[in-house]
Amino acid sequence: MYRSAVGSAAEFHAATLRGEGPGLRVLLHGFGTDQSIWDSLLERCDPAAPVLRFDHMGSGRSRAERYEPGRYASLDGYAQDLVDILDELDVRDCAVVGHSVSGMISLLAAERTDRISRLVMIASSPRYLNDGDYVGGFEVSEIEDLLRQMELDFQGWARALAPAAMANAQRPELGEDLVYSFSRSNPEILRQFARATFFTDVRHRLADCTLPVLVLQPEADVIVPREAAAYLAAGLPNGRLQVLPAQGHYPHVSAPDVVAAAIEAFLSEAEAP
Amino acid sequence: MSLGAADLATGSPVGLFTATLETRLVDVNPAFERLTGVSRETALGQPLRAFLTHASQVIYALKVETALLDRGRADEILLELQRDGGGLPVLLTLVSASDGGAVRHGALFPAPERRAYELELIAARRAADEARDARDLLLREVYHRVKNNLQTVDSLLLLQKRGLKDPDAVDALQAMRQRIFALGLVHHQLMGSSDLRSFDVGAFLRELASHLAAAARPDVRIEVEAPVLPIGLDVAIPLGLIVTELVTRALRHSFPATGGTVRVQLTPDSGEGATLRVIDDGQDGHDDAHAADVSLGLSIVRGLVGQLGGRIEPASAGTTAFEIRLPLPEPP
Repeated sequence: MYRSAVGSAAEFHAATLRGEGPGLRVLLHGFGTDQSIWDSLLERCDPAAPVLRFDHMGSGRSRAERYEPGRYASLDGYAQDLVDILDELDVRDCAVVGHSVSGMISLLAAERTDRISRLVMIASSPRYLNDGDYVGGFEVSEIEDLLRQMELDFQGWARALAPAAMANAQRPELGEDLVYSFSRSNPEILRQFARATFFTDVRHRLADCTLPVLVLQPEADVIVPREAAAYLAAGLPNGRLQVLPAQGHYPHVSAPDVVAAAIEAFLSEAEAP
Repeated sequence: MSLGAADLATGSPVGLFTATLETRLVDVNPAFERLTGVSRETALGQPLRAFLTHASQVIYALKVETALLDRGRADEILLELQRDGGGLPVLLTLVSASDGGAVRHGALFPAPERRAYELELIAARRAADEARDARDLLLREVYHRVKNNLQTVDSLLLLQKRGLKDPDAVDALQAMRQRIFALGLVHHQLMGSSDLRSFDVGAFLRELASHLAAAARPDVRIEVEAPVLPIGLDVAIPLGLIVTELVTRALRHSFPATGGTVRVQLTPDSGEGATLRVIDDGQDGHDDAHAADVSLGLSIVRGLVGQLGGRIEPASAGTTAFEIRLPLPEPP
């Protein structure tokens, strides 16, 4: 089992690496979850392919004490984390599969490194706010309302997020203490993450990304309208949209077979000369 | 008269519903109609999220969807129903049928008090954070000013000393300057302390020793052995003065001709205490000409040890040593 060096970016983000060799796949969880969200998808993907996962700052078992408000005020800080980890592990020619906001994080990371050669974006949007003819799905007031509601249910978020991160079958009582300490920092970090996510706009950066990109969009998604996903795929020079027969924002969990098949087909095609 | 399941649902003050696995409504009770403001006929067949504010639809996707996928149930999720004039806060609990059927059962509890309570909590947390920040700023400022004032006193003593001819008077003022430095150093440490209440005793004693060594003969060394241990103002002030007095005394009287070493050792006991030793390898050269000054220094030490609730152990025969047992309470 891979163990990240103490004090490394990989350690700060609780990175886990399965397997070795070329063709590494990096799986990036989205907002409000952690790397365990990929479990059911991984069971259905090529077991021989090496897989790297980690937790974004403030999520899962990442080290919240490393949080710097300035660095994570925009998605660029999260993108730099990905770049730092790829540099540290000297990864080459990897495919990054990003859910939701991580689609954009992987796009920003690809601008900063040549270690990434393919992208898969699941339920991702280049901009959540409506803008003229552009359909992002939300008005500013609705996003402000969302951030207010998140703050209102501070403890609820902590409780919802903590068990996955803190599960300790041997000592459940440890969970209680950790949930409390966790609840002091991570929900606030998460709220800032929400702000960075929902106010982001990377539409003007799509044309510069020449990597092959597969945009996977569920049929019905409350968070990302079909129009935004179509805009994303059309704006990427080598982008392609595939609408999945899946409901909800988490097709990789609700319909892992469909998502796994789409990813395997795309990656085997991209590997061909 | 016996009440059936239908009566339970009809009379319930809580909004109850059944839904498909995709959470499209199959049936709702009157309380559900009242909470959402939508009739049963309109509601049936609609997805539950259609009755939420847009922001709550996102929260539904982020929290309820994941919880259902992960655990098959979602508990007490705070959401807002779309109503005229704003969102109505409710707590949603949603579970799968116990027989594993393709039905979900749900309940909506009105939660206006919960929102009011959360808002109060947010306001209180903000106020507490602001008050803490303001207090920290003020404390840092006070430490800074005290340190500056002590520096001013030191400058005045230096000026005064330059005008004096009497060597005893010069020595007395110099000793006073060392004491003032120890006080200033405590405030300097507090300014840089993250909690503004405590700092590491080892770093403090080493810095104090290096200042005292600067005024000593170049062939006399001062060595400090102390653990990493937080101390607060109440302990640091007397401790700093005691060490200053004992080291100054050793420097002045134990090395009339040759160099040597003064050791300052602070050793924690098993309990909440420590033993302070100031030992030197020089000669026990008590000079009667300085008797008055020595006795002032020692009476200061006695007074401070008493203030700390400690006691001075008799020095071992044949060595020039002070051994002081001190209680070292945790910083407040």
